[in-house]
Amino acid sequence: MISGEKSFVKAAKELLGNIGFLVLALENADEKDKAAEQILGRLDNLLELCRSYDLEEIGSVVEGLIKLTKEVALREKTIDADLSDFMLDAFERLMSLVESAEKEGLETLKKPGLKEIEDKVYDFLNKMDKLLYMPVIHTDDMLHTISAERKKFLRELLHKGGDVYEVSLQTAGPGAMEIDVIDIFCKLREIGEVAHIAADPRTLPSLQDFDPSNPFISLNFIVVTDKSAQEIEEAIWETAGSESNIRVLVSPVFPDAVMELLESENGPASISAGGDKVNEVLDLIIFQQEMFYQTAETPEERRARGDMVINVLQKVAEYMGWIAKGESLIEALKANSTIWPERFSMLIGRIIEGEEKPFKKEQVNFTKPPVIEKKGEKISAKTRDGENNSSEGEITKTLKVEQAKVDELMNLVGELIVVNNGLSYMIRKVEMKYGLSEITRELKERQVLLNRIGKDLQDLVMSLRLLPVRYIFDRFPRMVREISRKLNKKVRLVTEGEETQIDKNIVTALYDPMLHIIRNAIDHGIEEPKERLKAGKPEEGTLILRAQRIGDKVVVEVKDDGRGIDPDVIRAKAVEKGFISAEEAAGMKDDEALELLFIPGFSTSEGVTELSGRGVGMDVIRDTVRKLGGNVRVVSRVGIGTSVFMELPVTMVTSKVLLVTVQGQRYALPLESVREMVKIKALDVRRMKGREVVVLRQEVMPLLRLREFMGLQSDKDKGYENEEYPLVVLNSGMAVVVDEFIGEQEIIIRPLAEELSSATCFLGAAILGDGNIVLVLNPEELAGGV
Amino acid sequence: MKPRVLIVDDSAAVRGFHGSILRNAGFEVEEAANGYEALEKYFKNRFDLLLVDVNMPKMHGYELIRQIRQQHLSDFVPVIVISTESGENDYLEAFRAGANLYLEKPVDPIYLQLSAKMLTGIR
Repeated sequence: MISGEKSFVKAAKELLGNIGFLVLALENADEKDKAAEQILGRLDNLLELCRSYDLEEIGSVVEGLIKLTKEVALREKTIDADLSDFMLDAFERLMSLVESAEKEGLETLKKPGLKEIEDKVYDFLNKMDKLLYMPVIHTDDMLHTISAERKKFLRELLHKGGDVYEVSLQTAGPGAMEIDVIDIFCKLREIGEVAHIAADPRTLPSLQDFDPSNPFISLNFIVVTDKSAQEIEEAIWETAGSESNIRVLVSPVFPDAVMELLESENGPASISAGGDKVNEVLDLIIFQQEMFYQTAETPEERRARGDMVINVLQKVAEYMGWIAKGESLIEALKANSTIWPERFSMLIGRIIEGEEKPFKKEQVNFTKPPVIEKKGEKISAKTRDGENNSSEGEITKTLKVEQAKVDELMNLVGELIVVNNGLSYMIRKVEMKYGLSEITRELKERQVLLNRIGKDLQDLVMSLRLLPVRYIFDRFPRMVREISRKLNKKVRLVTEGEETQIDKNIVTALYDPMLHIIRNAIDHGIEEPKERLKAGKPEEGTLILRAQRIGDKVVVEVKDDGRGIDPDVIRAKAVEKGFISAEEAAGMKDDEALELLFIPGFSTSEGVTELSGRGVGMDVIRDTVRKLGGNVRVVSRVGIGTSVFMELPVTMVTSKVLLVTVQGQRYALPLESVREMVKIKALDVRRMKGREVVVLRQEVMPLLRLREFMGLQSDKDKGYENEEYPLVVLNSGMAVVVDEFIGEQEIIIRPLAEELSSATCFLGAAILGDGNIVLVLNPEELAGGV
Repeated sequence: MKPRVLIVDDSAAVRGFHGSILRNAGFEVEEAANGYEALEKYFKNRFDLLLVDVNMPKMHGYELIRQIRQQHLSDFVPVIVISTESGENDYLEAFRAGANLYLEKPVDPIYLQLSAKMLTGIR
């Protein structure tokens, strides 16, 4: 491949990579605009890229997708699953094209197959035109703004009979100049009666994007006629010219609904479309009253504002029909407020909260009109102030810190604690040797204090590394969707306890095992919709991701309500594969049988599927979780479902260690204290001043035989002259002879239990991936140990 | 008796627009082109609602609200601010000045009608 082509592939891959996430974000109302903007940005670049490489075919597909995204961006509504599925597919196709171009050259991008995608894009675009347009019927909204005479006029028209249509006419760009709106209006009057015309500013471009040379028309007509929608549409096209670049949508409006709307005296609250808005406005008002109340700068103002808010809420409640006009809101709250939104009642509660408390000091300075004073005098200024402070305190200040710095801080704290532990040992030594109990007691007190501060510091730094599990939970909805779509299963994903905090390293490392468990659950656990119905379960399976803190552990659970794992099948499989004998299987309890799942190479699936048959078994999951210092358990009931529990420590500080063996026993040495690893011959060991030393590159280093240090059988005499000793040279200059190097490993060092903490030659212990425990040597102690 | 609203905006078009929306909602509408005119009308008449624009010559909308809030002589009048700004600080400033509701321009007619009705308790 030529280098130019390579850079095309690279750039295109970058632009298309992860674009699926953005497409999914289009489904979320809050993220939609931003996502659309990002997609458009990327596609624009891609289009330019295609053009500069003369890839007209792929370029026009991209162009279509740009149009599609722009349509989506224009709408108030978020896109539906059909459309996002389609877009995801389209981007996937593009990506795979680019990938194939990487292997076979850019010529592949000029093959005809593309035309078909492009057609599909445009098909969808046409379909979209209608699809997205349907919800944009504004008749209800429009009718609210209609003047009284107009309403009367419309009512009369309706009584005469005829159908009501909303005709929306839209156009943008230079073509708009050629549209004669008057002509269209006249035509509509020929067809029937035009009851109302309104400009629809909703799709109007923002002021920054407004281009005076690109006029914009967006009009809604309400037409009463006996003609059909199609006839109206045809008439408009006839008038405007079939070539013109306009968008016409004629949607029938149910006449009874219009009548009801016109005749209802109560206004929008009584109709459904308006009802949503009532709630929106209600929420807005309540929310803003909270803000209004909180922004008071002085206690005095706060009291006055509390009154104002009560006043406003009283009116709101009157409007909503919760209370009669003039009825006391506070009385009503005490009597019955169950139908009120919680926030509404809570706000009232907060404002009147202080009423029972006597008001003292400020009363003197309080010169407010009697109405306000009457209520205000009882409100304690102090509690109000307290509230004010706490509400301000809620704004958390954040500071971005490099993770490396936090890690270093953690290490330093760790060192501090180790040094402190040594101190306690020293104090005891001094006490025993010199018996200075008076001084040592004081020292001891200080040391305990230091110890506590060290521990607190450690906890604090640990907490800096915590992240909510939301961080990974948020990534699963998309995966679950994709997997279940591929398998034609219906799955509802529920997440619980997303705010549970856990070490960042654990959170990130948890993604792969969780993904695998989820795949398993959907692939093997949750049944096909038909099968579920047959079993009397809802068609849609439920997958629950739950995180919960229990003591110093976090339990992450992946639970499905699928077919469950049959322990008998597991037993049979294990016997068949030769992991256990038939007798062993027979004597095995069900939960023991489930443990068999974790044997490497065990898989219960009948056939290997594309999704979960990738050779990653439960054993790998257990290894991963164990490396994080946790454990995995499976609980399953046939026909009811399966839960996979992962128990994890809340915090984790990983350290790289060098694993060595001494007389078959494994030990770990912190890698940061290891200067080098060499092999020396027995000949290189000399004696100097009664001590063994080794000369390495003209440097004389004291030698420590780990066997001797650990009190094991010495290897001093056993070696032949030419035998090689593996030697670890520590930063302190100490050379340590071991039996064998195993290698580097990342582990979590855990402190030894209280009873063993006096064994200062160990920094702590750690659980290895295989479940075995290893002791971590303290290099400082080794240095002084000769 | 119809509820009365005072619309304060330096643009006659905007006053007309908001006025027609509120008239349709059953309000009696009075207009003022600037803060001084608004204060004058406010002290002479009884209003159930104030609709205030933010950026106006002569007197800033928030200043107008502050002055009205400092007059404890009359009953409480809910104030709706209609602004082109949408930042958090703009909201907070409006509330500090004493506004009860902050709506962004361009305002949805239904929102405006509903808000006006809810703040005055009139159906």
